[in-house]
Amino acid sequence: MGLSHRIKSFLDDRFDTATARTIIDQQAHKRLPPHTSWFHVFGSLSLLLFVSQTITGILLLVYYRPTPEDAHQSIQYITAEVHFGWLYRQIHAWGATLMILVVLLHMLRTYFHGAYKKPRELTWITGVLIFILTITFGFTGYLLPWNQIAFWATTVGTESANKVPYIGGWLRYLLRGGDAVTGETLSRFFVLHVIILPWLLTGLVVIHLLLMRLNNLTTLERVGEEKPVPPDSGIPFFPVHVAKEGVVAVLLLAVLVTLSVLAPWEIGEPADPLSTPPHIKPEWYFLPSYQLLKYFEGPYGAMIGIVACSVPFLLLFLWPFLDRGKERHPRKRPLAVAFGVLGLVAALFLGYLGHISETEQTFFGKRYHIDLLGWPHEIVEEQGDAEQAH
Amino acid sequence: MTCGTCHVEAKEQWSGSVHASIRCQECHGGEGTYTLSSDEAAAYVSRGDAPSRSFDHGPSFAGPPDRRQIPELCGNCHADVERMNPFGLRTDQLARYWTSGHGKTLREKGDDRVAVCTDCHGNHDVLGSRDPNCKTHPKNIPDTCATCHVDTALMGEFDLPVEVVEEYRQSVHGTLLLEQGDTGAPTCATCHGNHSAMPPGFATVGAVCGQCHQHAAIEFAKSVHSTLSDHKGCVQCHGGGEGRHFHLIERITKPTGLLIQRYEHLLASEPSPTPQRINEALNPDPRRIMEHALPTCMECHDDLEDDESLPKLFQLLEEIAKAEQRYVATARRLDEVGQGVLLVDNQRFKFEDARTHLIELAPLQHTLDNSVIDGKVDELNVVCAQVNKELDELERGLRLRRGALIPIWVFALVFAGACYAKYKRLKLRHVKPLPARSD
Amino acid sequence: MTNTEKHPTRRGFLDWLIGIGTSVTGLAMAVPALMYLWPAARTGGSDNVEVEGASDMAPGQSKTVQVGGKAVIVVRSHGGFEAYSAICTHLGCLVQWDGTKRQFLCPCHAAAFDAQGRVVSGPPPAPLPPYRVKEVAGKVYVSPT
Repeated sequence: MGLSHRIKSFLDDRFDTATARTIIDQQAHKRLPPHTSWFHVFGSLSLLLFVSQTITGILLLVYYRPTPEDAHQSIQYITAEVHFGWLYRQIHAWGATLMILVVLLHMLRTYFHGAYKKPRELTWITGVLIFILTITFGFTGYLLPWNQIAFWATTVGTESANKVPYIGGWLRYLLRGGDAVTGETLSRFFVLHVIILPWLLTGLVVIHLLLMRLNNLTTLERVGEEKPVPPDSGIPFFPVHVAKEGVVAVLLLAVLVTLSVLAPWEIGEPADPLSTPPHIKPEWYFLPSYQLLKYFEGPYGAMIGIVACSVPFLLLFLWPFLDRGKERHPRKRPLAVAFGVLGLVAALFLGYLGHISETEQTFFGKRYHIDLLGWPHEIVEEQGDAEQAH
Repeated sequence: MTCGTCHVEAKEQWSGSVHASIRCQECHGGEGTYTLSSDEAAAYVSRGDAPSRSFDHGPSFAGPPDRRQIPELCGNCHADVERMNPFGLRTDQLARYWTSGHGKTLREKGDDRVAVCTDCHGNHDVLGSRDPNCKTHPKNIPDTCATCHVDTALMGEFDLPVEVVEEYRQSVHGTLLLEQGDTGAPTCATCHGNHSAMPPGFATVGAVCGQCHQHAAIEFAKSVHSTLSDHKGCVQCHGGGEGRHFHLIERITKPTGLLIQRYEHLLASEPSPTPQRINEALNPDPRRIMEHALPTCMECHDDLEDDESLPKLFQLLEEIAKAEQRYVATARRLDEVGQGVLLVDNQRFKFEDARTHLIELAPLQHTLDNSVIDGKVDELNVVCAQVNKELDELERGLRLRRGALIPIWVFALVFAGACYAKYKRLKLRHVKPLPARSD
Repeated sequence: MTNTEKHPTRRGFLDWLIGIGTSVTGLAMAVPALMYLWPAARTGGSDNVEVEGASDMAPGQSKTVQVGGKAVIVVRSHGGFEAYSAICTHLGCLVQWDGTKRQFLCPCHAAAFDAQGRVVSGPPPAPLPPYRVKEVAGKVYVSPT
């Protein structure tokens, strides 16, 4: 009798394995709707990246030390001395960026397929929560190397919490663990990043997957008129859809390694609370909010700005209840699609403005200085010469 | 009425001086206070004009002290241990003064044109030497000495050169003190002494310089030149060369920072210079030591053809120049490699040893011993080679990483292709195509 | 169905390829991770220990630091910094620096070493081994010679 056989009979003697096997078989071979396309892989890719982040994160934790004295040096040690340390650090950093991107793409697919509509509102809402947690992961993890750029980006980032009406000052104090970004901030960001957020996210992901399984993937039929997936032309999750995901997963891993090798994140100078480097900007996923905030000034303006920044997130949460149309197919709900495209374009545009603000750019052969708010000012050469002459 | 009623200017100077607590009579004699009728007062008290007739200050009045008497007058207090004790001041200045060139001339020849206490310290306006306005503040000392020592007529009588002050101002010490404001740099008094001012003889010049340049002095003592009785010691080479008066003290080699600066300046104009060009840039005047020293060297080394010491010297200089080149090239490479993703902190740390060796070379040159220099240069080379080797390894690792991407992508594409083929096949097997859509 | 049965070898090859691919990917993840966990030998300057607050030390003062797990005593003299093993060569007690006597004193058997680590009095059989001191950019580092 083989070993696997023995284990099987051992388990069979003690548990009702037949039922468990049936459930697992059912779930594994469950048929997905026939229109399940290449756009449906982003969910699993997000999961793959989450797993990758967990593994690389645990590996980094082996050598990382979350104190202002040691943090930067321990990252240097990981990069310079530990075998493959550079690789895991880069994969973790790039994985974070890619994960946010993939989660966003997953949300876009869901939005345009109307998958948030009844009965899948809760799946959507847990999804939005997962998105917010992913961004929070990015924000807290960014500080951990304790380098100049991270220290000051966090200072600026937590400072904007101050603009929240009524509780702003209190919120900033809580976030920073004091009046300024210090070792206390590093400690609480570390705890958030490696304990609280991972477990929250794991829980949410489990719920999200369960809900997705319970309701199956959406078809493009009208709300309330969804037909069950036809048993013959539905796509079995295993092995057909899994093989498709395998293709994308392998390519994603290769892209991840390539980015890690060719476009590595630099460690930078250790944090210096006494000197602010010029042009502090947040990571790309915060750029739209960062730019939007700039347009609101003064005590009331700042308040309005914060509200304006939270409106998109509020809309995301409430969207399943605001858009009560029965149609799912994007071609049959032009208004929702137009609104989605508009939101996407606005976010991209604001992000781009944020990216080029306070720099010099060339458009149509002319040099422009882009000011804080993103307005271009042409650079006149004579003026430059005159200034040099002075 | 007090002295100050009439001697307004003297009173003003005195009240701001360190001597504000001692009274006029202690130097000048006299009463201190005088009672005058208003008529008399009107006659004597000038308002900026000279008094209309001389005033009888009383029998104890001594008037302005005679220049010859001044050292002893000051010494009344300043050589009195008990009196100076509370102020923590030395009391040997008077004794030292009598040993100085100034003091000897005054005592032996009675010549009062020499400097006495008041010439350097002032009379009514004596200030502490920490006061930047004080004539004996380090930054003011060259000017204070210059009041007499640039006077051609006066110096001519004592057969002293007047160029020394200007030579000093141009020297490495003078520029440090006067241009860079380093009050720790030696002034005239540092080498000549202050109260006991006397030029050091050539026999002892090494000891004077060696107070600060300890390593150089120790190494020079090992050289063959230190055993020669008619060798002028440090100033033989560093004294500014022929026709100077040993005060244009100059550095002959270059500090390490300057080397790198020169190297980067060269690279800005020539991206890939030849070793020859690097040498020229680092040592714009590699034979300058000879320009300074050669005429005096020639006094002994008169037969250049047969003298084997000169080729040895050139070889020594060549070794040092090569070591410098190696140092700057490695320093430069460290910076370049460190700018990317690679961390070179450990290598930078190791390289500090090379810097130490390069700095050590400067005093070691004074041995003029090729084997000593070669040994040190070897140590430096070993460090540079080690650092370069480690940098090579780091860069090789980086190339390896990039090279590994090719097999990784080949593998990923094959694997993904296999998955895709499998997917197509599985779909055919498991999934029936949907009936044609009605809408 | 018929399609796959026509090419049994091709199907076998594909499965074999995917199996190999999966194992290689798995190994490519597991092996570096295991190597990563294997303690890295610290190379180069890492055994240089920074003397914290060295710039605040006055001439004549001392500080004890750990270098490679061993106690090292750093003394600031007028010329710079010097470091010696703080472990008495007699029985291994930790010596202390007496700034006024300019001696290292061992509290165990009243041994004394001079400022160069040489035995002045007492039972130690050998001088205190010196450590290397490097001053880099205002910071002081100690490392074994």
